[in-house]
Amino acid sequence: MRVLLVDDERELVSTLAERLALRGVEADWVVSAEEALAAVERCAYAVAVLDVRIPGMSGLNLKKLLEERCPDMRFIFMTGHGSEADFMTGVAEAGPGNYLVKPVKIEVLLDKIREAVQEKGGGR
Amino acid sequence: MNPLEKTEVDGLRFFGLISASISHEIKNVLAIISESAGLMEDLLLLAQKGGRLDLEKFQAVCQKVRRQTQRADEIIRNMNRFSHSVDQDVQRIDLNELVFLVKALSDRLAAMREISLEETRAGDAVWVTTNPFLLARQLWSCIDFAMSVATPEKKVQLLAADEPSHGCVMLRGLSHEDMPARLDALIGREASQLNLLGATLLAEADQGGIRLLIPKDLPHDGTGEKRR
Repeated sequence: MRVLLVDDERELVSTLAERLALRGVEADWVVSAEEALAAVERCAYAVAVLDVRIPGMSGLNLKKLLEERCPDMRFIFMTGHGSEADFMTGVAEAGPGNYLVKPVKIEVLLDKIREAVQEKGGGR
Repeated sequence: MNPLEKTEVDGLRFFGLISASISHEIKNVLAIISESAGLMEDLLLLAQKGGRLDLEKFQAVCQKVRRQTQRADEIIRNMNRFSHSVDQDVQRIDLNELVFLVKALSDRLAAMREISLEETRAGDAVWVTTNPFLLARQLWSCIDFAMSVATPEKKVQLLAADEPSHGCVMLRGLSHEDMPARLDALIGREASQLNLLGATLLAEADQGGIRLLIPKDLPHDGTGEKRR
């Protein structure tokens, strides 16, 4: 299982990737939409974990672009924002359970990743 | 909405925008510190189970926490200075300091638009007596405009300068094409606030920029009433 983490906070995604690796999940990380689009050209990811707001593009728009390239990819959103509007948009796009507010508990993220992979395996 | 009501509403919107941006940044800092603490616990747990404690990695995580703590301290210091800008309607301020503050508060908003803000300080202090909050909002308005017409290099430079009768803030790195008409529209939107500040906003076509001129002494009490 390989996961792509996308967030402009370099130190956050790099640490999350290390923690996931210690739990047996291979995670690559990038800090921009451009890098995310390049990463999916090089490698197949089961799940992408996206910040709702990344430089130059919203996480929701990035999701659409990634979906076009990787129709089987599943998505989890993270946000540092507490705004109701962001929350409602995130929930609508990602589904109620796949929208996490930072700081994210690693076990919760891990569960969400596993659920997303199972969902994918179930051929949703 | 009359000009004074518009100024108040614009001011509140600006305060909200900056508060939301700061809270987002603080959330990110807390998330990094939280994940770093989690990683340290992971490494300790591995060592307790008989693995080798990677001291270099552990040290690197400690440094990460220290860097983020310093970052949070700086964010909160700027937030505090910004919040106190509404304490008095009129204050004597160094334009260098205000430009530095507004630039720091705008950095994340600029980064989201993939634009970098660069600040060059005048050699000496540039003293003006003005309404600091209104001027901060006006500077943000200029930065927002500059970002919307930035050149493909996406670098906006901010420079404060002392002129005989004015303090001056220049914003450069702007593209020439769209600028004149859009600047006119901005000046129209900002007319009441520029008037309150006694400030003038001009194009600097030869430099690819704009120039905000601020009188060294505000001709009224910062709320529009004449000073006695």
